[in-house]
Amino acid sequence: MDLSNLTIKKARELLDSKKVSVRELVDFYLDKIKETEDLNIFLEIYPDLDEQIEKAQQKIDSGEASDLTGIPIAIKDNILIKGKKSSAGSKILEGYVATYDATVISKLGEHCPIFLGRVNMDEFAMGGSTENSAYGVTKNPVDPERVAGGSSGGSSAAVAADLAVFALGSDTGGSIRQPASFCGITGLKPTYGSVSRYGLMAMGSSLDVIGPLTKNTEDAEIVFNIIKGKDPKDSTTIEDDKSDSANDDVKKIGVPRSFLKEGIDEIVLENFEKSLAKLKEKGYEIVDIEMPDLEHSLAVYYVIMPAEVSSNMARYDGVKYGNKIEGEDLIGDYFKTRGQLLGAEVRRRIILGTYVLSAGYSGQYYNRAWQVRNLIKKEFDKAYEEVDVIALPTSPTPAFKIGEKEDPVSMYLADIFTVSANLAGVPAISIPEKAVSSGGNAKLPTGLQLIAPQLKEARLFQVGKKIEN
Amino acid sequence: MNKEEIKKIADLARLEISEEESEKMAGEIDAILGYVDQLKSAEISDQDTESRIENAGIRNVMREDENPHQVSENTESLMKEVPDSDGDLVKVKKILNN
Repeated sequence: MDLSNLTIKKARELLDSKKVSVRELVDFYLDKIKETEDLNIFLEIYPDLDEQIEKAQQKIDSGEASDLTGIPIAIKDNILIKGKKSSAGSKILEGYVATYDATVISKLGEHCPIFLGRVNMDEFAMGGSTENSAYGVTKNPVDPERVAGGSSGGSSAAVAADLAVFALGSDTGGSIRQPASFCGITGLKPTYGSVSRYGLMAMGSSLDVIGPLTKNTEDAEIVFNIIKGKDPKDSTTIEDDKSDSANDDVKKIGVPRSFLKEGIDEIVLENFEKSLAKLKEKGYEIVDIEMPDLEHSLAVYYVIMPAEVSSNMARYDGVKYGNKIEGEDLIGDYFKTRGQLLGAEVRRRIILGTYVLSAGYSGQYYNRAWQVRNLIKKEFDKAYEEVDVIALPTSPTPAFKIGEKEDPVSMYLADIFTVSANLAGVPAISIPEKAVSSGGNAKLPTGLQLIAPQLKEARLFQVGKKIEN
Repeated sequence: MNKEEIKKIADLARLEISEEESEKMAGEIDAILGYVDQLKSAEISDQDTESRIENAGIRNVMREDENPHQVSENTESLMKEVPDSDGDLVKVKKILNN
């Protein structure tokens, strides 16, 4: 039987009708994982697969299967599963074993899915190419000379190479949507606070959110509906939207044209226009909107994010958990542990964050950035008085070559279209656009990004389902 | 920024940094701050400067301090992850010299 490219629904049918057993399904993915080892996607296959398989199969056999029972999933290396290793792509946490389950893991776990293993990422989710992982770069299954994107590069590559039905990632400034776009799959960044961050290693606490990387929009919707919800263990979580999504038809889609001027790859613009034409065909009204403060998004992000990073990374000191390098005295332990076991990008962001928060500079940078962040948030609110959804490309370029971007600013510019949704806390999805030829024979995919108001994920699913394939 | 400033910031952040790296990082941080400087050109009204917290709709969420978990319930698994320990104690180098 052909088990390739299974969606959650298709896998569910096969498992429930007993056309395939959980073990057969898992073996199919394990074989493919082995075949694609060169892409460096999985950091570990969990040692308890037999146990998980048995439990899931029993649930199916007794007629108690729910949406995800027996469905194989890949987990980003910064989401905790009790008793399993979790390293966030860092040397400082090599060998660390999680002492509790993340809330998303408990919620998925109720269905008895198969947690296949943990996948690669930029160290502590800092990066846009997975080149910052201490465990080597993840290669793009579409073109192995290119990056899979990041920071959830392992998650996107796992889904694109068909090594799992879906994967979980985290998104602070684009880390789900950009790799999804680079690998030609679907990626959802939910509303900030709609999904619990309990058990997700913190990077930028006012920006971070967990979300699914999937083969289509329907799968993203299924997973989102399972992992969302208020959690007493994360005080920033918010109540589910109680509004009636059935009566919330999307009609108008806004495009902030003036934001699409320079530094954008031709292929991206071409595909974006094609997508807009397709949306029109499907009956949506496309209108130009003005959002002048959007152009400051990236500058705001590169102040607030490193500021939060510098605070969050203070916990890695070689005392409480993780690895340690001995110094002459206690403070020497800190200096050596953090200096030697944290990678260059992490250290760069700690220094940048410490600087923008330091006495004499915090007004100029941090406070200013928050003021502009509020402007951007207001600008979104205003735009949604006029349109139902906003459309932008996900990334200004398709996947770039491994090693191509050396200086930090050029790497940061890859986040230009994604960070604003994190700053405003609104949900956004990247829908794959057809691969076209680029500089040779490689067919590189791009992504259409749709952004909705807070808690209006339903609008993204509605439009996504209409235009994919 | 020069490398001395980078060293100072790295000291605050408890990061060991080499001469070579602090020199390289000074240029990189300068480039990033140069980009970030555009924040000065954003037009901010008096109303928007009032309070970042109020504007962002952020509030404290508190809970009652109750239902603690059992003493030592998590001790074993947590202590296992401590790099340097002595029984149930976290071990660090002494900070007071004679």
